[in-house]
Amino acid sequence: MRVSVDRDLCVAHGQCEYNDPDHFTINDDGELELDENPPDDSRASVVRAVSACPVRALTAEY
Amino acid sequence: MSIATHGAAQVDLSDLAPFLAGREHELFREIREHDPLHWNTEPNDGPGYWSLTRYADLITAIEDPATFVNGQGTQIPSRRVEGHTPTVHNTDPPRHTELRKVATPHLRAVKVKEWQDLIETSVSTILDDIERRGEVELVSSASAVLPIQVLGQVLGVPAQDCPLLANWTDRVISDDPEFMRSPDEKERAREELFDYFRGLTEARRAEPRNDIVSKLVAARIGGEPLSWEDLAAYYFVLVGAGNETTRNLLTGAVLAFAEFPGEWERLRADRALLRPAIEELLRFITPIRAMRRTATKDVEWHGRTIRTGDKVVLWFQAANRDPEVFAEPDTLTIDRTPNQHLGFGWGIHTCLGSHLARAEVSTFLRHVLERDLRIVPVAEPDRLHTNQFHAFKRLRVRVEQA
Ligand code: HEM
Ligand code: HEM
Ligand code: SF4
Repeated sequence: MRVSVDRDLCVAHGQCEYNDPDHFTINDDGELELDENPPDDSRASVVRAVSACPVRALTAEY
Repeated sequence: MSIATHGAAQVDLSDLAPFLAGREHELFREIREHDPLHWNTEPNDGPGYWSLTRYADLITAIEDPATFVNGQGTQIPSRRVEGHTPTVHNTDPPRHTELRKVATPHLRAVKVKEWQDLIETSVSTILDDIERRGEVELVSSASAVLPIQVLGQVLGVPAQDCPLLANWTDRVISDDPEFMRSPDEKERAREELFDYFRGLTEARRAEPRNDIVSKLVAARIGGEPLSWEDLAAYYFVLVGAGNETTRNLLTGAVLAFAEFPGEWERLRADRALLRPAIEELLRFITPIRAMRRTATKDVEWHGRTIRTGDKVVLWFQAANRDPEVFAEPDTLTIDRTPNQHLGFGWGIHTCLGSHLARAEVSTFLRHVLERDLRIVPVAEPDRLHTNQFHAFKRLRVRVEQA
C-alpha cells in the first residue's frame, strides 16, 4: 500500500505515530517521517494511524 | 415521535442538576436522536446557544474552522475577557497555527519520554502514600497531585512550588461556589499566577533550561519573540488545560472500573490492553464534555438556521456515545477497536497535551496493576458545578490489595 502526507496540513500532532510507531515517526526537528510503502500485513495499524490524523493530512491507497 | 421531539426540544443543558447527578446521558440520547441541532436558552439573559451531539455533525463543524471559530470564546457563557491576550485555544488561523507551532515540538510523544522517570517517581510516591493510608480522598491525594507535579516540572516550576499551582488553578478555573471566597477571587488568583511566572520567565531568559518556559521565552514568531502577554496566556492555558483535565480522567477511571469490574479483571489478566483501555476511558469519561465555537456566517443545517454570531456548542461527550459510531456506547470495553473518540477533540485545536496526559494516566494504572491494588470508591463522587467539564471535586476510596 502507499501512504502520503500533505505537508501543508500536517502539524505534527503525532497521533499517527501513537497509533503506528513502526511506520510513522516525528523526528527531532518535529517533522513527520513515514514509510510511504508499508507492507500489506501492517495494513490494520497503518489505516488506524491514517484515520487518527485530526487534520486529515494522511492518505492511504491500497 | 412528535411527543419525543417536543421532549427533546425542552431539554435544558444549562441546568446543572442532571450533570451533578451523573444523568447527563439521558438528555444527550434524547436530543441526539430527535433534535440534532438543539436550541438552548441561557440563564442570566444570555443569548442562548446551539448544541451539536451527533459524532458526524461534530466532525463537520470542527473541520470548518473558518465558519465555526474559537476566537470569540470557547466557554459556553459569553464571558468578557477584557485586557487578556487570547490563548492558543481562543485564536484562529493564521495566528493559531503560529502559536501552536511554538509548543508542539516540546509536547510530542518522544519528548514526553524524557519526562517518563519523573512520572514514574511521582506515581510511586503517590501510591506509597495512599496504600499506606488505606482509605483516602482520591482527588486531593492522587488525581490532582500527579498532573500538577508533572506539568509543573515540564513547565519548569520547582517541585516545592507545585502546590501553589494547584491552588491557583482551583481558584481561577472553578466557578464552584466552594472555591469562590470573594467576587474578585479569580482575578486575584490570575494575578498571583502571572506574578509568579513573571519571575520564572526572567530567570529562564537569563539561564535557559530544558523546560517549556525556557522554550517559550526563546521562541520566535515571524522573527519576533513572544510578548509578555502572549507568554502569560500560554502559561495560563497550559496550567489550566493540563491540570483540570488529567485529574478527571484519573478519578473517572477509578469510577469507570468500579462500574465495570470485569473490565478491570481483563486488564489484570492482560496488561497489553492498557493502551486501548486509555482510549476507551477517554471516550467513556470525556473530561471535556464540550467546547464552544461561534458562527461567522449563516448556516442552514437540519432544517434550521444558525445565524452569524450564534454560539455553537460541540458536545464531545454526546458524540462519544453516538451509537452510529460506537456499538453499545454506554458500556466500557477496554479493547474497543476502532476507537476514534473525540476525548482530545479533533481538527486544528486537538489537544496539545494528549501524549503527556496518556503517559500520566497509563503510568498510574500500570503501577496500580503492578502492585496489584484495587481502588474502590466508598461513596458517591462530588462533582464540580459545571456542564462543560466532567470534573470531580472529591471521591472517597479504599485502597486494598486485590
Ligand atoms: C486527559 C487529559 C486531557 C483531556 C481529556 C484534554 C482534552 C482536550 C480537548 C477536548 C481539547 C480540544 C478543545 C477544543 O476543541 O476546543 C484540548 C485542547 C488543548 N489541550 Fe488538552 N486535554 C487533556 C490534557 C492536556 C494537557 C496535559 C495539556 C498540557 C500539557 C493540554 C493542553 C491543551 C491545549 C493547550 C489545548 C488547546 C489547543 C488548541 O486550541 O490548539 N491538555 N484538550
Ligand atoms: C475539566 C477541565 C476544565 C475545567 C473544569 C475548566 C474550567 C474553567 C472555568 C470555569 C474557567 C473560568 C472562566 C472565567 O474566567 O470566568 C476556566 C478558564 C479558562 N480555561 Fe478552563 N477548564 C478546563 C479545561 C480547560 C482546557 C482544556 C483549556 C484549554 C484548552 C482551558 C483553558 C482555559 C483558559 C485559557 C481560561 C481562562 C479564560 C479567561 O481568560 O478568562 N481550560 N476554565
Ligand atoms: S497525525 Fe496528522 S498532523 Fe499529526 S503528525 Fe501525523 S500526519 Fe501530521
